[in-house]
Amino acid sequence: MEKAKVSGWQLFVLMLLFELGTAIVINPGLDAKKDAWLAVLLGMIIGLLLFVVYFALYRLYPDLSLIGYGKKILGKYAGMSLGILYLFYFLYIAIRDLRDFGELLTASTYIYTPIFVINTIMILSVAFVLWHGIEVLARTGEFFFVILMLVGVVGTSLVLFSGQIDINQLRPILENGWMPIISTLPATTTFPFGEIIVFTMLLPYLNHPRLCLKAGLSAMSISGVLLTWVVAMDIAVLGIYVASRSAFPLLSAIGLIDMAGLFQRLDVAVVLTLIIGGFFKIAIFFYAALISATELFHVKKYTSLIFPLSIIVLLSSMSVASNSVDHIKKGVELVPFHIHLPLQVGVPIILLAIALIRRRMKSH
Amino acid sequence: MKQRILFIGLFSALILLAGCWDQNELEDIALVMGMGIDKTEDGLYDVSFQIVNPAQVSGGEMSQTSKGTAVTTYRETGQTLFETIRKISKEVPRKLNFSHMVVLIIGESLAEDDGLFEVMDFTERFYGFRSTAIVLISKGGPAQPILSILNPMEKIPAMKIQEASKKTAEVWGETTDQNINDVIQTLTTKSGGVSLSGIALLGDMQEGQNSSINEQAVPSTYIKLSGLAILQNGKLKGWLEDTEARGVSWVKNKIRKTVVTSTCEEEEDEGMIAVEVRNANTKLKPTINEGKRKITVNIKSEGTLQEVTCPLDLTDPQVIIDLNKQLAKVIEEEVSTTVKTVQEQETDILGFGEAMNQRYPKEWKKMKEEWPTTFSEMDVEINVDFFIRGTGLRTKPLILEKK
Repeated sequence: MEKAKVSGWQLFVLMLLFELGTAIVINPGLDAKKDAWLAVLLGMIIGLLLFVVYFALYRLYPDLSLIGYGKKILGKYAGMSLGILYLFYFLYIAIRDLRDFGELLTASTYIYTPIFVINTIMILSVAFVLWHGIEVLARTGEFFFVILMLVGVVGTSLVLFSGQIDINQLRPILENGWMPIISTLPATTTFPFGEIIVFTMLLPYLNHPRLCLKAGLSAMSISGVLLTWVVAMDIAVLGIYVASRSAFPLLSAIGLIDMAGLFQRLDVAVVLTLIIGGFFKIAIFFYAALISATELFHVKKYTSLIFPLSIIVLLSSMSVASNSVDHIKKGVELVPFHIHLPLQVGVPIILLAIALIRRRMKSH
Repeated sequence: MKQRILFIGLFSALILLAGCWDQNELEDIALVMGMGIDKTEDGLYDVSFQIVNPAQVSGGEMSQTSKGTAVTTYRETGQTLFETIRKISKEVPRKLNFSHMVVLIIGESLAEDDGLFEVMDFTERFYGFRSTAIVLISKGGPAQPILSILNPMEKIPAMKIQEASKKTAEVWGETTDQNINDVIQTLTTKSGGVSLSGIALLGDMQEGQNSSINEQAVPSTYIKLSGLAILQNGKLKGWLEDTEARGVSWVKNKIRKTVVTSTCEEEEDEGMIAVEVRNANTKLKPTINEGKRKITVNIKSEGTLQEVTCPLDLTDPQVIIDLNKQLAKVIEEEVSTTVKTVQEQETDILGFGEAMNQRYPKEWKKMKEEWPTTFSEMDVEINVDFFIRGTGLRTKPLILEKK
């Protein structure tokens, strides 16, 4: 595959949009109650450490993707099975994100539109952009980044100025000690910060891979701070009891804005955020799945896989859960502990350890 | 060729992108401005909707000539609220749209017997509602008649209620214009008390429903904000009236502007003074001293003299200092009466529990179980500072010139 021309800035934008993605609307970490923002902030710090692990692996094998060096480190058969595992992982998360997106839209604005139609339109646009390659996705990212930041600045300043924030809603800090925060850490670390592992599939195909450490660390810290702010804002506006029962806290918080009867009913801004974020999240996971499949099965061009995989993602997004409750339950209980943790934390650390030990043995 | 197929494919997607399933044509929707919830004797919800008649409120020539009412109130019963909203299609030829609803009135007896929890679930779950609508409790009767009274100043009565509530909160401080979201937030705090403004109907209901009421210079029937309902665990326990209700706003730091009236110094019958309070700031300071819980309410406020009917030399700074003390005493008495009444009701609507929780999170966990009794027995100290900043456009009062 040819090296794609993606600048450091574009990589940063892609990573930022990816991290904010759906997390900004759903708000991770609300199980830690009033200290949810703290859980997100700590999750980000652990996420940064994870990213350093991914980067160390990449430094050892600068021309290979996660699946490529997986094979090198573990050998042909074990590496191959690991690759297939990751292919299914990326595909599954793309499917879940698509379903998330459909559920959010049908619950909030498109009440009577069948979720299948919404998902179809989304996967069509994702497929269209990926057909033109990662460069087009990166340029699309630059464009939507500006829009998203504008919406964010206007939205948050309106919340501030309309006097909806009651800082007392966040107090007392550490009401129940550190335990609730620690128990939500696996969830906030893996979603959305640990998900940055998909970029290990993209890096070898970029023409400026050296910039990835800077881009990744800054994108993760900025998105982490933004998420922390949004979570804290939602709690300060809604109160923890309302926020933790809301399907989309941001939607409820923004809906309360009323500046002199002039600026009100801004829910559409949240829906816009959701569509932009959802698009990049799905697109990047889907792209990672496409590359994994191309590498594993030695397909010449990944574009030939777009159509079949789109159909798989679309149909699976319909059958992945029987209803929204089931979908969210799996997302809260099954995915972070049984899927995210081993594949984002366990496997990369083991790979790095084996690679470093081998290197040391060789040099002696 | 490939591009052309792609182009056609994407173009046909545009048809879907318009979101045909969720279309709402303007001429198919009925805007609900206010909603009232009561319960019938059989335990069914009796819901009334105040719906705008578009022709009557639109600008231009039409509104000048027509004589109908600007709103119509429909009612429907059902076992659940959502059921009534859809069942009302039998009467209303359009689909109800709630996104411009400004008031939600809950019947007094419903609030007393059933409480708010059941009703409020629907208001936060249903996609069509906005949590910016203010919530009121009808005082001395059901909610339905209140929604059906017309008035001349605002074509849409629900808007009148909303404006009156906002203005009162702004210049008088007795009501607290709480919206759906505020109510749900306070319902779910563990100290359990909620206060909501009341609204009452005065005069004859039949007359107030006729559009000819708008031709009277002195309306014989009208609706008026009145009192503050105290709710414990979502159920109505009692009412606070007039200045007692304003005392709650003082404690909760919700006073933006208000008027405080007092006699001049201690002597009665000498005349009165009125000041407009323009700035008020209240801080709650909880303390636990050897197991004894206490709340100190510190109020700092300032304002301007607006009316003086006693012979005082207002050019003398010492007189102003005395008046400051006198006014502070009046406010202190007002607040302490409120606190006593609320303590007797064993319902924490003053936010003392939250203040305790924030200051003493560990101790709070122990005391929150029996909070209503703790609340009713605890010491409350009230400190008020008042500063007169100006005396209006005149210095010495007119009464000094009276010979």
